[in-house]
Amino acid sequence: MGKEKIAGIVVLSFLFLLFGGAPVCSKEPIHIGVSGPLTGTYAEYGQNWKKAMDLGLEWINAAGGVKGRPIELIYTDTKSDPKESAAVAHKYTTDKRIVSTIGDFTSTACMAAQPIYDRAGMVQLSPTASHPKFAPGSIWSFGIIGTQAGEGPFMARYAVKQLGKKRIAVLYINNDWGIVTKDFFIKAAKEMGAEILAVEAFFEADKDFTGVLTKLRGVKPELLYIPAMYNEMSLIAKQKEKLGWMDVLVMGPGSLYSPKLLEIGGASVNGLYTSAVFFPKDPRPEVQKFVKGFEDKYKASPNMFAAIAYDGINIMTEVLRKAGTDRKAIRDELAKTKDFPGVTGKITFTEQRDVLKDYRHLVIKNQEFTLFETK
Amino acid sequence: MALYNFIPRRSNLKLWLPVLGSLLIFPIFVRNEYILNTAVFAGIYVILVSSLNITNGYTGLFSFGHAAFYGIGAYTAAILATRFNFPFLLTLPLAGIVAAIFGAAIALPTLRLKGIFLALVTIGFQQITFLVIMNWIGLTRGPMGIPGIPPASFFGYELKSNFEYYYLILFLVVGVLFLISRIVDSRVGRTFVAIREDELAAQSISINTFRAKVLSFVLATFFAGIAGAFFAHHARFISADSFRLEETFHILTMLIVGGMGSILGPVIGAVFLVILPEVFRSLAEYRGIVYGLIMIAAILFRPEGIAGVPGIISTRGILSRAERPQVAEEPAP
Amino acid sequence: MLILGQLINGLTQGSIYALIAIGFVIIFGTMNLVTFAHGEVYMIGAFMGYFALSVLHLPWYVALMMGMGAAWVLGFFIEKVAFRPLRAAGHMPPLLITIGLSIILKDLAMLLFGAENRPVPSIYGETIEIAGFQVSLLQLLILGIAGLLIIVLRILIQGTKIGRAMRATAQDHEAAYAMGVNVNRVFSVSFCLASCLGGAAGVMVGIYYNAVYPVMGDTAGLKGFAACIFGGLTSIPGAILGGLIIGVVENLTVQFIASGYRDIVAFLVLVIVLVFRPQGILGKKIRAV
Repeated sequence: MGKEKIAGIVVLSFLFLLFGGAPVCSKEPIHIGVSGPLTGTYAEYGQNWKKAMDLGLEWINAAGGVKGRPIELIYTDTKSDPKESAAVAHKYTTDKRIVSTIGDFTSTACMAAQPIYDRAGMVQLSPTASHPKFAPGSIWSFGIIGTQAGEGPFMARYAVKQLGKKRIAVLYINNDWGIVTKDFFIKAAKEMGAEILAVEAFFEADKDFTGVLTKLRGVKPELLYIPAMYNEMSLIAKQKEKLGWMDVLVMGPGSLYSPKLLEIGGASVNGLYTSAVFFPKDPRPEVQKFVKGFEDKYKASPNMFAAIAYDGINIMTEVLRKAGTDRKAIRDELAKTKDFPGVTGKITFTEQRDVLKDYRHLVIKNQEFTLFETK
Repeated sequence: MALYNFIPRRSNLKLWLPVLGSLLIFPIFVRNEYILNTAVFAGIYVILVSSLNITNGYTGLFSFGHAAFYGIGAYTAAILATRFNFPFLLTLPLAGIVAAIFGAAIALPTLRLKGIFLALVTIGFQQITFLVIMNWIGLTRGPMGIPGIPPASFFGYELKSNFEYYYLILFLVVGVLFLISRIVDSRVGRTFVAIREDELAAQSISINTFRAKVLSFVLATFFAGIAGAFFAHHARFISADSFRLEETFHILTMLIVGGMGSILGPVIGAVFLVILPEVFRSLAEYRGIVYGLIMIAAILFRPEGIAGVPGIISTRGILSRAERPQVAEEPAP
Repeated sequence: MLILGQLINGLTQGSIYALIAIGFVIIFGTMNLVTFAHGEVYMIGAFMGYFALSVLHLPWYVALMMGMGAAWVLGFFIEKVAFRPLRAAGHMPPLLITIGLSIILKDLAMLLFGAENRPVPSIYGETIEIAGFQVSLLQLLILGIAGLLIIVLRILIQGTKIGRAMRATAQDHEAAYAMGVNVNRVFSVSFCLASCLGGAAGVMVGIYYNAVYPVMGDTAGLKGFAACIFGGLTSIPGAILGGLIIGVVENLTVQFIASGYRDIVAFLVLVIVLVFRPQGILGKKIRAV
């Protein structure tokens, strides 16, 4: 007869166990919560972030941190799953030690957590959310990678004006980022007089592109615009090569910018056009310091995701120095950021807490990213 | 009385009333939004697992498509709320009804199938639903999901914190469990069990087993739809990602571990497997391995789960049917 | 011409689905059971192939053998853990255990190998002209290997002692046992053989798409199942037919509808066949090969 009571008590004890895990206040380090994918499909991007942020943190704390207090990053894996990022948002906002957060990776995960950060009043600085509706959605949300509203027209100009290609086919990844990217590109390209011959989508986990490439080949485009991540792009490039389809130009947005694209894609990605907000050969001292430090520590070249996360932690530190540890003061100071010298370009927040980026034209020659000479 | 025989009734009030009482006052002492968030999810899964229990546990039909109905409920509520401004009091039941309609539509042509064939066709349906949601951008916004779902509200009052959502889900859980206990305790419920134990025998005493199986499916999907609607209004943003085959497997694992064919089984399974990953968040990478091991251990060593009716998943074959304990409390008429 | 291209795409992919489907047929035919872990066996085979090709730089046929070998060994263990202890338990408990195993294997692979794609080097990247159309040599290679494996399988099943034992067990395992067939051994060999084919399919997919990754087994397993059901759970020719048809219809769907709907084809086939003709196209009447 007591079994049900015992069950009830066990259940409640579990719940109290969680309560018992409530954090103890610590006065020394300043804590920033990081919400991002450390496992799962997007794990490599989250790992890139972590590497860059750990590097940045090393330097920041070695230089005395913020007024003598070291900064500590608390990483929680969300797999960039909207459910998890929301749960983590609850966790972070109720943790009194955490003053601000960096994350999440995908716009979808960011927007799922947004209402929680908004209600509780805590900054959500996403290094990579590029959905135009994210930052405007809450005064606590900030994006530093620029939105497709900026990149789309840039790429369209590259394709139509710089390269002179008017017959374009689009192959995009069927997720929130891919859809927004393709929409902005197509809109701008059409305005510049291009003809969009075909638009096809593929899912994130798809590996077979032979079918859709064969179909696109049928409409005989001069240029393929491919909003995809570097993983899929390398596969697309290889399979396109296997089908013997060599007489078409291939272009993709800055998401492709990564040494991994060259590694996985090999010779098949030669001739690919893309853009970058971050270019390791950029002579600016802050860029060179970052690149060298990253290469020394990790024996690998940093990609765009590492660079943007590095900027994220640095901006946050700068703001903490000026505003202290009050959550609202941090938000207000962050919004005032102007011309911050990031490795991904100067960062100034617009009214909507987005950034307008400066893009570079790139093309891959001999399996290396090189700057494209614009007319 | 064993755990699996427990059905809350007026007669055993003093068993479950204190538990209900503690659940009612618990949030007053624990005001932590994060803990309450976990509690809310536990509640959602109690409803989901209990609903799966109706088909898989009581009726013995192995359905592997449950997350699809959960998703249909969530999307119905989301679309009605964001596009047509339906209030929560309407979206909740409508989500259940739409999910149930789909449930009936799937059940009618497929419930003739048994065992593995039924399992496969439900998986097929699960995948098709997922792919349609992803592709039909006009209706569901595809992979972009549906943001901006209004919070649950009652006559203008909007729920804001997890403290409030907790009481709402508690109310729903109590309601759903109450309904399920009534069903189980009734002739309909006994028909389900009869079908599970020996369908041929049930047919021979002129029970329309096909109709009962469809009813079981419809009830299960109705409650899954309701859980989906609640989820939509609580999370305020949904995307197809939450309704994959993996999700069906999670719900199924909770059901097996908690125990099938009883009222308490799904409750225990859901609460246990919702709280466990939160407590061990640092071991998140190993979540899959832990889940898989729990499932395997359950089947190999205790297939009836913690509080389930022994013998539904039998590892000793048909012979053990004779050894199975009485499930109904009253003697057969 | 475009259709011809899509046809060849479809046949190549279809032949891979067919190999996976044949695996299911062998397991169901002899043991009357279903496994949900087949996709993961395929994935492990693919990773072994990747390892052989990208890390050890071995030629593709060695990689193929290694993949098949790894899959055989894994299959051996799965049969021992999931199926042997539960011989009398019907099909549901082993099925559930294979679900658990599949979740574990996927997670282990993610932990050991990382979630990202592992790139597999390109081989036979050239194309040749057939009937005025460009065909990838690689596609022909894959069709060839698949065909070869199927022929070898047929020889095995029709011409060897163990093959005869498998056919006898498939027909009636109690009678086979009564006639002195070591049924346990037959079950084990059948499962390993099926896994081996799955591993081969995995290696070929890795080569064809230049990528292997931990969750690649999910869709492959389910589509292989759809092909198996289409053909009739116990018919190998049916499975081959099912695989090829699904592959071709998928690519035609990409061509004429939209590529996003590609995956739906296999599941629609699954549902439609189960609802209207559960015994499959070639039915239970034709058993085994």
